[in-house]
This record gives sequence, structure tokens and C-alpha cells, in this order.
Amino acid sequence: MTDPLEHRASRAAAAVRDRTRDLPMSDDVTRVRRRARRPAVAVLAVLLAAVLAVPVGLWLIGGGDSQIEFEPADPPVEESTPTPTPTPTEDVGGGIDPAQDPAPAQTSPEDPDAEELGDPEVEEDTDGPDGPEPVGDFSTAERSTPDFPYDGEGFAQLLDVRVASHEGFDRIVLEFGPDDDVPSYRITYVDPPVIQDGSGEEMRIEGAAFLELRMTPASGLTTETDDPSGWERTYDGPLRIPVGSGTVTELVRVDDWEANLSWILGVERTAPFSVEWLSSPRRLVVDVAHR
Amino acid sequence: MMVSRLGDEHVMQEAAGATPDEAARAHGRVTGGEGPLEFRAFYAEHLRDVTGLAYTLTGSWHAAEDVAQEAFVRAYRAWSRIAAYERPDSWVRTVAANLAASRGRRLAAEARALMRLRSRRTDIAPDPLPEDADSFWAAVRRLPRRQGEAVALRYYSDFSVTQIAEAMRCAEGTVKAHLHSARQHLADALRPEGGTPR
Repeated sequence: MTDPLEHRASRAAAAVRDRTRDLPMSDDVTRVRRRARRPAVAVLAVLLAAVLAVPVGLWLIGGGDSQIEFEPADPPVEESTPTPTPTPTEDVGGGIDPAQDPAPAQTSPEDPDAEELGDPEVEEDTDGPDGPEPVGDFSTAERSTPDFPYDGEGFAQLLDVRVASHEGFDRIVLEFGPDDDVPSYRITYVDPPVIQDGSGEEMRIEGAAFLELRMTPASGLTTETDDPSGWERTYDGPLRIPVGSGTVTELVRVDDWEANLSWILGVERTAPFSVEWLSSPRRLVVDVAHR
Repeated sequence: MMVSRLGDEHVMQEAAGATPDEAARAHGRVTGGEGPLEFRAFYAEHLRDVTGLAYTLTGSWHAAEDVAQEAFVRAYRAWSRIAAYERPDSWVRTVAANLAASRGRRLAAEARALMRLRSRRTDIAPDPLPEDADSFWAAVRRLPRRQGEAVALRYYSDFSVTQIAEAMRCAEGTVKAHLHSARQHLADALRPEGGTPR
């Protein structure tokens, strides 16, 4: 602090802080709430119109009961071939360089408790990571680990994101490092707007319903790198993955901040989904029913 | 649209006509590691300081107030997510600095124009800064945008280089380069009249 410029900067900052105490500000959040609501009302109106346009029968089948059991259109077919993963086109950024997103400076020490979050007894599917059998039970209800949001030790490093269409469902796979801890997670439909970190901007995501996949502690970035920037992406795929056909319309990374990793799936409607953590390779599998 | 949990919109409508207790519960429904964190308390705690940060980059208290409000509106809309963060205030500061640096000059000009048209809201402005501080921030505002943003986060919000790199989503090396050029520019700009060159 011998630098006179640093000294002057500190004094200048203190002077502004001092003046903020004189600001006749109300601590009332009403104004914020009112401003926050405005765009949401418009979005809701559009969604309401969209819902009203849907035939009543479809409404009853698709969303009349949030706990409705999903029946696959056909029994799973052995040789159903997954459609190829769609070609990524553009990265999400909004003026932000996604290649240099921040990552929390966390390492992954052993965490004895983390193993219990997942289900080690889960039977691994035999047809590879994108096998045709849907995992778990389908419903539109929120699914989460009991400890979400877990903020203790441990870490899961995102390596890959895949999407494939199967008979009766779309499968999204988030693959993590082979020795990583199991992150706590919560999968739930959320209302728009979806707000991006860093810019706070509202993100446009294709779809009528938005299924949020939140994992913590988890990240697609690492600080364990020789790269001079100090950051390195462990998942180097696109941050926005449009899906040409199917019920899932788009996958978008909205958040990778302080070990909070969020992806949002744009879905054609509030479709039932199932979730499972599988351990070899370590991955979170989300299946979204076609109907 | 059927959703599996109550949306923010419902919460807000409920909160509007609810008792303070109910409203607090509605806003505190998202729990972080240490229990519920209310948006209301968060807003009250950080509003002034975030406004100050915006002031350093806009040079107008009216524009700063606008920027801070907008940053908190965005935080409110993302609250279900960021409430669980260790430092939700860093998130707001980042957004505010970003907004102030990108829109600050236009907002400040608009605010001045408004002030000329109708001399209202003058009560909002605190006393002018001491000349020493005022000229420093004026010089910061003349810096290239990214440099100014880095300087404000570094010296006003006491962000570390690592935090600035996170906030500006760039490499730490880039932050150091921004701060280095900024210091050179500032040293030149703030050199006393008739002073000797370095």
C-alpha cells in the first residue's frame, strides 16, 4: 500500500461508501418485487394462452395429475437405436466468454457420506450409457437427494453431456469423473424467466416447460490446471445443445458458479421424467417421457 | 402449465397480501446451508453498498440507484438459485458492475437530462464527493470499459484478482493486465498539473 495510487483509490472508495450512508433509501423490497413481476406476468399470459389452446383431453393425460404414472407407448425394444446426438451450434454467453467461466477453487477430498447419496445398488444398464430401458419411475414431481443443497466436502467434475432419443423417452446423461463424489441434486420443473449468472440476463430457451437439473458441489470447470489462465473446462462441449426432434427441445447450461452447476432442459410440455444416479461411469441420467 | 412446485409468481402474489410473517416465509422458502436466507434481509443489507459500486462507474446517484435496483430485480428473479450461494452479494455486485459499465454512461446522461427537465428527486443525491475522490472516479470512468469494471470491483468492492476473474468471466492474467494498464492510465490522468512525468 505504499503505492500512492492504491492509497488514493482506497480513499476514493471510502468517500463513496461514506456517501451511501446518506442515501435516503427505503429498505422496502416492494419496488423490486413489482419490477421483477412485470416480465413474468407477460410470460405467464403467453403460457396460459398456449395451455388453453391445447385440447382438453391432452391436458388431462399430460398434466392433469402431477403424479400421473407414465406408461411407455411400447415396451422397450431391444434394438432401438438412439438418434445421433444433435449437432451443437452456438455457445451460450450473452457477451461472456464461456470458455473462461469461473469455477470454484475446490478440490475433491474423500467424503465418506457422499457415497450414500446415490444408490450403489442400482443395476447398471448393459446396453452402454444410452441403453434403451428407462430408469426409475416417471412423474412430473420434483426429485432430489435428501441433503440438497449439500455444501460440505467433495466434488463432482462434469466431463460430458449427452442427449439421445429412445423409444418412448428422451435421455439426457451428465457424466462425471470416474472417482468423483456424488453431488447432491434436485430436478424440478421451474417457471420462467430463467436468469443467467454473471449477466443476470433472462435466457431464451426453446420449449414450453423448463426442467431444471441442479447439482452441488459440481462444476464443468477446474482450477487444477497448468493453463496460465488458472481455469480449464473439464466439459468442453457446447453450453447450448439444440435438440432437433423429440420432447426435449434444448439443453442449456445456465449456471456454473461456486460449485453450483445448473442445466435446464427445454421441454415441449410438462412431461413426466425419471432420474437415476448410475455409478459406472458416474453419471446422472434423466429420462423425459415422450407422452 | 402444470408445475410441480409453486412458482415465484404465486409466491409474490401471496406475499403481496400476506402478513409480514407469511411474506417472510415465502421469501425464505429457499434454504441455504445455514438456514433460510430472506431476500428482504439480503436487499436491506447490501442495497447501499451496491448502489455505491454503481456510482463509481456511472458518476450519477440516480443512475446508480437505477442500476442497483435492476441488479436486485435480477437477483430476485434468480433467488431460488443464488440464495444457496456462499456469497449471493458477489453475484449482485457482479451484475451491478456489469450493468453500470455497459449502460452506466447512457443512464447517467438520461438522469442528467431528466434533472434538467424537472428538478425533482434532487433530495436523493448526497453531498458531492471530495475533489480528491471525485477526480479519481471520473478518471476511472474514462478508462476502457473492462478496465474500469476491474478497478471498481478491486478498489470499491475489495474483490481479489481471482474474484474479479470470476465476476468478469476472464482469466486472472487478463484481470492483472487490465489492472496494470488501468493504473498507468490513472497515474497519467491524475498527475497534478505541471507535475513532472514519471
